[in-house]
Amino acid sequence: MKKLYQASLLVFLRSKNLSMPYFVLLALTLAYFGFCFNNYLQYREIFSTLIWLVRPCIFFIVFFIYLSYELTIKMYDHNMVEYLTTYKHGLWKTYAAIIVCLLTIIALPSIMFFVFILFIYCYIDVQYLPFLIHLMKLSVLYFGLSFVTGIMLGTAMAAKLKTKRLVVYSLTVIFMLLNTTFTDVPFRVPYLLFNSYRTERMLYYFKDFLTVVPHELGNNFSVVPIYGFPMEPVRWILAGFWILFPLTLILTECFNRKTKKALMATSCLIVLLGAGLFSVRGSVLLMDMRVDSYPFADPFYYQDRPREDYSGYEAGFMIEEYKMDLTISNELHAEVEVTIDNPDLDRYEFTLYHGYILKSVRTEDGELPFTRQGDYISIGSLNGADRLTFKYYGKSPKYYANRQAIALPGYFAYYPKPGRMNIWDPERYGYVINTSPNESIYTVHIRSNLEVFCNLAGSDNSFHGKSNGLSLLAGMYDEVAENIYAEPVREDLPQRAYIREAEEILIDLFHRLERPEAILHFADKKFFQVPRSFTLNSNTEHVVVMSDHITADSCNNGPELAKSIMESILKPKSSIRFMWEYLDYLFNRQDETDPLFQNSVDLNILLQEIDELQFLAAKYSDMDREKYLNMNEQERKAYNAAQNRMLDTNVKVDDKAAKYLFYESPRKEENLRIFFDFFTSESDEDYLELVEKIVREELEHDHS
Amino acid sequence: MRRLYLELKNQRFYFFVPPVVLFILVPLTVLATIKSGGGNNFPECATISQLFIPSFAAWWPLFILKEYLNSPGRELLFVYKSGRDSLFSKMIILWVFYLLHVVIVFIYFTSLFDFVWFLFIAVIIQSMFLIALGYFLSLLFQNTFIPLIINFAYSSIFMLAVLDSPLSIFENGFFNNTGSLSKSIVVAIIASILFYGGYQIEKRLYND
Repeated sequence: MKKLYQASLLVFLRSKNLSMPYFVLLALTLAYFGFCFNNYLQYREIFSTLIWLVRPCIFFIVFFIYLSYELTIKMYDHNMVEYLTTYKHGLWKTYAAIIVCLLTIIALPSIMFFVFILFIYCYIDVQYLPFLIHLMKLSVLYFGLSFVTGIMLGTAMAAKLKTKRLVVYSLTVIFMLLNTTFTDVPFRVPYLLFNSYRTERMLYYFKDFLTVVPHELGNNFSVVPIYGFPMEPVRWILAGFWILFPLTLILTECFNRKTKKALMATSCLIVLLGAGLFSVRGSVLLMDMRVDSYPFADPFYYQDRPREDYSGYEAGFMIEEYKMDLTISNELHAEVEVTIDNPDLDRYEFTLYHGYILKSVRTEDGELPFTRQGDYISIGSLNGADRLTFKYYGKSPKYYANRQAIALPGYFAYYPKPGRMNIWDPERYGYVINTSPNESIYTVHIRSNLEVFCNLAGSDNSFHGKSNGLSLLAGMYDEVAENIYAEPVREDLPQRAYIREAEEILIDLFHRLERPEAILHFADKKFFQVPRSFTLNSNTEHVVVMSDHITADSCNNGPELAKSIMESILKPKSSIRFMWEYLDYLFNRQDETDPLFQNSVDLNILLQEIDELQFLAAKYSDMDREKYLNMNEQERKAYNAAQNRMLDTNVKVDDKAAKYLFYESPRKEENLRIFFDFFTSESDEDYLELVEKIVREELEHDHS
Repeated sequence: MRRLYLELKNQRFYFFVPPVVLFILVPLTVLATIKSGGGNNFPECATISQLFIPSFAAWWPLFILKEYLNSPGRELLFVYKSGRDSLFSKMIILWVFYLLHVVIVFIYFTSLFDFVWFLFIAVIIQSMFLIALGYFLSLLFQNTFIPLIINFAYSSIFMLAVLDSPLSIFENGFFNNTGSLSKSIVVAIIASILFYGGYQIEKRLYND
């Protein structure tokens, strides 16, 4: 065996078309490490550097497929197989020697990656053990097991397909392309052209099963520091599958009759087991272009459904107490007992995100019938009972909960909330902040392999306290200062001083606006920094202030935080852009180098533009997709031209109106106050009408 | 030519991979892009064309070269070889053959976009480059597997990950004037050098 191993190694070293590219690859790897290190020195972003390191991983795997195939195929090219079978276990020993030889070959680059990652960890000096463990896992999965997968696939193809090179080449190309974002555009064809969401899902299901590099080449989404690189249990299972399955295929070539049949049965069993475990993978962070992924799943889901506005919905009851028993394994499994204050209603409505599958609803007297419609649960009379227990499991593509990380903010309906609430606001393009109207008492027990951080008091994943929302965070997450929780790997760690400064700025501002009743006190609340990616598909989650804690995607300085908090208080009504401009002037953040500031606003022109905008909006107010499709070419051209004109005019009007009202006007302080009231009211009035009214009043005032 | 015809015929199912990509995959993805976006979708369609068309240009050449470099008894293929019947000439013929297929795709594109011919020129030069690279590397390594990997790896890296690298043969932009072909001349020159280098190796290996 040892001789066979040495002989295999010699064959490898003497084959110029194998050894030369291998040594070139090693040299290129060293140069690449230099490039990655330089990237870190330039940007000081550890995850960005690691993404660069992971990017060429699929090419290493494919290269090892090439090496293993070409090394193994020599046996068949030189008709050695029959000769080897004349010895006892001759072929088996030869294959074993080749595989050990190949393992030796891949050991060198694997160790190089491992050492480089260790070096980077020491260099950045984070000293955070979970991150070190994460990096070790990254080395093993991305630069260890995936390389082994490469050699097993190459050897298996040589054993099974022998000299059918065209098949080997084609399979390798398919494997390589499936491990990149090459497939993004073609895989969207079924959905975009034929509206077949199911076909897209099937294609991605197949792709995911073949994915051995979870953060694939071409994926431009950044890695979330709380989560790190995708390394959920299913990734390890798949790595194991792609090593064991080819191994059994190789072994079937080495043995005859009964053993061969047993090995065939084993390989079938491995396929079934792999596919079975893969199908119950649960909550996995998917950051790509598919409809099911983190950035698109919810916007697409709610866009395809008729919208009902539940903003003024009265549930008729409140939840006084929650008792939660949560198990976070591959996904969330929950048993939530709620105590309601009004047990005499005929009907109870709850909101629970549609990704969670409700198994049962029961009271002490037994199970209750319920109906589920998307995010809503309807239950009939409780027959006097005031406690309800919901049993459910499931996942959300964005608010993940699995063995790698947990990100469940208190404003998201991952547990039943009273009444009907909208989850998604298409106008603001963001999640609706659904905190409870009252403070409930929570008793929470969580079974998880992670240390969970919660807004309530407690330890060992058990918490108790009063709040209007329960936030749970875990992963590469920690208490970075007293009552401040964040991802230690992130550069921009929050500080209590920033939060205090933000509070002071807002108190001054509310006094300036003569609205002292709106003053918020949050400087001493627990602060949870949520992943920055929360705002990737949502405009509403920069900062959320809850009764006992704050969640924010970042906290770099006081003024920024104050502005974000003010933004979370305001309702944008029909124009988000105008609201942002309002905020800029309110916080004195206007860009005075803008050409707009070279001249003062002509109010008559502004009024004309507002009239034009209102006329165009009224003209096409009843336009829908069907009407658009029924238009002839000329009508469409006119419509498109009007839309473009509206877009341009809207931008101009917003800029000019904001500049005049909040910067030039002699009554600018009053205007700021009027618009604060407007943005915080439930009024449906169009902001342009209000702008027009104020401008006309000021013009009349000037004339008089 | 008959020999080339037989070599292509010998590929059987695999011969149809580039036509499937050109006549089914590319038009469908372009249509899907047009349907999904608003306004001018030509830049996205230019990206799709550059991602799919050049990377499959080397498919037929490499699969034919496989017969000469990696098949058992390959020496026999050179016994009846005439002076004109070189691998280099086969590469050129296969590029022209692929180009004819690409023309059909671009004739279809003219029904979707106003002006596509600068993109066409860029794509055929990129295709020529990748064929030349495949030809050169195959003869250098005496193997067709590595060039195939390099071909797709190159396209993936520079179309998916590092879009603006000076090492990329692919172009960004609207392809509405000759300025959008800034890289094409250099790419064509490098492709010619690679063809020349490959031909010299071929002569040394098989004609001497």
